[in-house]
Amino acid sequence: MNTAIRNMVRQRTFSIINVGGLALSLMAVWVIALFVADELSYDKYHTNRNRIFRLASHGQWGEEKFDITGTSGLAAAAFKNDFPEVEDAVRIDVEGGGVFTYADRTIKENAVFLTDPSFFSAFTYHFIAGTPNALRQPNTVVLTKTLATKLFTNPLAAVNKVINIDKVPTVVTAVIEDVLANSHFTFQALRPFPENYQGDWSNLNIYTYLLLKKNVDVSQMTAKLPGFVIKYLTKNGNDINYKLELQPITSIHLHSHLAYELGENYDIKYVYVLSIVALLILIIALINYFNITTARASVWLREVAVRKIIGSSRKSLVSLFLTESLITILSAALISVLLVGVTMPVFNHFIGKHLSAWQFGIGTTITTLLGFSLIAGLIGGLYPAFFLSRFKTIPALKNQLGDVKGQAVFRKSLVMFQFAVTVVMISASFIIYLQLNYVRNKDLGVNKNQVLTFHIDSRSVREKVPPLRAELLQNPMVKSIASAGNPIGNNDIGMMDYSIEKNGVLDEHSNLAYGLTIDADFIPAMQIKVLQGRNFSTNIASDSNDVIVNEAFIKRQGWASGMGKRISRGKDSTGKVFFSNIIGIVKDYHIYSLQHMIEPTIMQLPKNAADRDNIYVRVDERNLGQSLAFIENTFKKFDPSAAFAYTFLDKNFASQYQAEERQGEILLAFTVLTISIACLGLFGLITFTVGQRVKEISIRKTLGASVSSLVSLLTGNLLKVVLIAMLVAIPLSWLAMNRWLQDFAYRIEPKWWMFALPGVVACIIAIATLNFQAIKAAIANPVKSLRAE
Amino acid sequence: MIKIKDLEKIYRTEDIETMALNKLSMEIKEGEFVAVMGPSGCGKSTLLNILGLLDDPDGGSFLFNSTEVAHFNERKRAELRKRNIGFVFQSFNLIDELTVFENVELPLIYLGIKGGERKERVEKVLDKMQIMHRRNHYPQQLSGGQQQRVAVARAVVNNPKLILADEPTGNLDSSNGNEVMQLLTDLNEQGTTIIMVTHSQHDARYSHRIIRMLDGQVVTENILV
Repeated sequence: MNTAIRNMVRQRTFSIINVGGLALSLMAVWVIALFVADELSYDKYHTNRNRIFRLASHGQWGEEKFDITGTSGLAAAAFKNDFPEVEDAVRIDVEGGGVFTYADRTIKENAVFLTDPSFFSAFTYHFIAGTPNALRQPNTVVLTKTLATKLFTNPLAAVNKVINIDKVPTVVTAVIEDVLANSHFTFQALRPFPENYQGDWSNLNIYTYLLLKKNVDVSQMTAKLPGFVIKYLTKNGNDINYKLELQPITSIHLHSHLAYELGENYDIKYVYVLSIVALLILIIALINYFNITTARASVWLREVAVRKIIGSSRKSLVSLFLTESLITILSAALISVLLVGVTMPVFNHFIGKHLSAWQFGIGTTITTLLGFSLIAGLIGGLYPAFFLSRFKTIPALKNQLGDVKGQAVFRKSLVMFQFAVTVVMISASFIIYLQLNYVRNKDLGVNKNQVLTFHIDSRSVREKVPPLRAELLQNPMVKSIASAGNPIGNNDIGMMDYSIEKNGVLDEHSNLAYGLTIDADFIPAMQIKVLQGRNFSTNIASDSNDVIVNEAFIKRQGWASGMGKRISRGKDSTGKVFFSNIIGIVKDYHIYSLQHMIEPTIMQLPKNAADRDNIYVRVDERNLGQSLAFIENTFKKFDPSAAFAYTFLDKNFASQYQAEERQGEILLAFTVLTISIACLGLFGLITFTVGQRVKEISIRKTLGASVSSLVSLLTGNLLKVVLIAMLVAIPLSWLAMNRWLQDFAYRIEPKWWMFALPGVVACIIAIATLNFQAIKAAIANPVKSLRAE
Repeated sequence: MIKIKDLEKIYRTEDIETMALNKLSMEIKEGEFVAVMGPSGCGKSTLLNILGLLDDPDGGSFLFNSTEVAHFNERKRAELRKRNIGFVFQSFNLIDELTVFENVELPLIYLGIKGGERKERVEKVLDKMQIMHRRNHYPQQLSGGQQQRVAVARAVVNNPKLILADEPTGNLDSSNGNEVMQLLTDLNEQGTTIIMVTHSQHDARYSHRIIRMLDGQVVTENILV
């Protein structure tokens, strides 16, 4: 033990590199393990987790298709009725939000579900007050602790109190703990469906969860789903080829990427990527340890030989190296505890979670850490131990290391691996940065800057949009105002069926397009370009029936121009086909974020005031604070009871890239870490090389070698390795990042320099690391080492 | 060729200050063969390192071919050294990873001489030192005498005006030692100035003049010729 510690102190540069690199890598593995475990834990807290399935709908007809989380509001009851395997079924409608008022407190809350009493039979929530029967009566509400605290200060005081939700008296029947962060959906309140709620089989806007009975064979049940589709959906849904899917609740967060997901799901492939990154970081640190330890062998060789001569057995030598190895890794483990403690808040900020370093429990964490140290210490120590103790004594005394070239080639291969990984990671971070920069700055076809948008909850206030608009426009800080039936940039726009008229006859084949209700001010206010025809006019009565479409719509139909064409959006109550003229064609603009293609879009004027619920106000950027205050005050004049909750349009779009941004940030952090650990290894190797070649450097210097020639002599070989690593890494990065970019409908075109530049960066970092030691050696006085002989 | 006056060199450690050269003065003419003798620690090697422009003096003057070089920077010293001075060390100081040919070729590479001329000059000097047949061997495959002959070949391949030899026979048996001394004598007869540090009275007798040192100073000078 003493000898091992003495060796480590004597070779302190190498010890610091070993311990530091391992500690950093353990920290990375630890935090990534926390992240991965959290991602894998989604929805596993439900007692019935293995029996809860979400119903998802897929449909296809012609070239059109949809894959959505929504189902018919009638599906739950039909499943319960038709399938003996179903113990219970739960419907969820996310449209339960509104303005909550109690006494003098008013809170606008959108995260409110309408659901069934069976919600609490299927899902597991902890009740602070009240019982799971809480939703059995109409006009009742279950609040989360956070919302109850906001309304009542003391959440326990909430039960049996009457609050108003959109002015409707409602009884608080229970308060539950907040929904855990590792849930695929979250809410602040639950309300029962209205008693008069009626779903229909063609409207797929309700989320349906099934609680299956114990020991049900899901594959057998899945086999019965086509029969259900024929019985209910196909009968009502004409030529659409429907498919239903049962999604296990625990797989939704990582495996489901359908339209209208209830929350921001993650992707299992990023969990794999991060796990691989953690593993690679650990391997890179272990390679450092391995390389440095075996490289130091030559320094130790004479000592080992002398120890052998004076009677030290192979066993005691092996135990010396193993002890040193274990001390190194245990020290690293200890330091990693401190590092995780310090970096956890930063990491949490990056990933947007609230993980604790001791998430797995202190005992489990320490046991794992000790177990890992023991295994890694044994593996890390055994090779050098046998490598060193195997040498023959006399050649060792003369510092003859046997197959020195073979060892050096092996070491260089490992360095190559380290730098190939580094270059791939730098490339990945760089491409993510370039792509996110691209989506942030791409011309969307609408001017999203300085536009604030808010929702009008009150139907009566929606009637007053024209006077609200007129009053707001009186202030010169307000540049323009428009209203629409949907918020754009939130990736949540409804689709509508339409058919086209061909040669005076309506085509039976129906198509899908986004349907956006806009007022006549929307196109000019959002600065959308009209390519043909004209904008809606409030002075032309027929416009209320006609439509404007985008370029994508025209392209989908294969028309040269859509002007003068007619489309149908269904039949009226008398069964008469309802035609609309296309009066204008606008340049394609994005209503969804850039992961999504611009789809055919039909714009129409609002049929009634309720469709003017989303207001867009372009304001003067110079007086933003004043503009906001003015808009709020004006809005309050029209709706004094409502909370004024606004967002900026550019932020709405930007928030759709949060997942990608987070991936980019996490990857960047681990890339920096990987570079640091790889450079520590390179630093160790060059230090070793310099140490080995001190005499040679001195001789060459005596013979007239310049500093630059010595530096290139010392660094050349390792630099070649880094260059080869770069060549290996570039095609790998190309493949990986091309795949990543496929997730974006609008993406940068990968260019050779995007992959070469990270390689150059890695080379520059490697050169800087190598030269630091090499220049020091090259400018040292040669006399000392020559005299040392 | 060399004129030094009041040369000083002090080595400092944390607690001790050692005066390796103490106001030492001497003059060496072109074509001379001078032996420097004295007990260990008297400053012989320090003197040789300063004369070889490998080390800086802390004080005094050092004229090399009438140019003051005592305060030359590293670049100037390296330039002067590679064009004018050859070194022969007691421990040969050959580079183990290079062959005999490559070791001897090294000074010519640093002088920027082209490949064809380098080959010609290296072969000529190896031939002269009678180790041509060993040109592709590595130093560890040679005897001590052969290694020192390679070292001498390397020292003379760029035709230096001055050869500094630090106990050139210290690691050799008497037969090989005599051979190396004969090589140095031959070089001197062809006009190369030689300064040799030695403990050996026998080797010193090959020189024209013996300078004896003690405590960083010259104590006696004997002219042998």
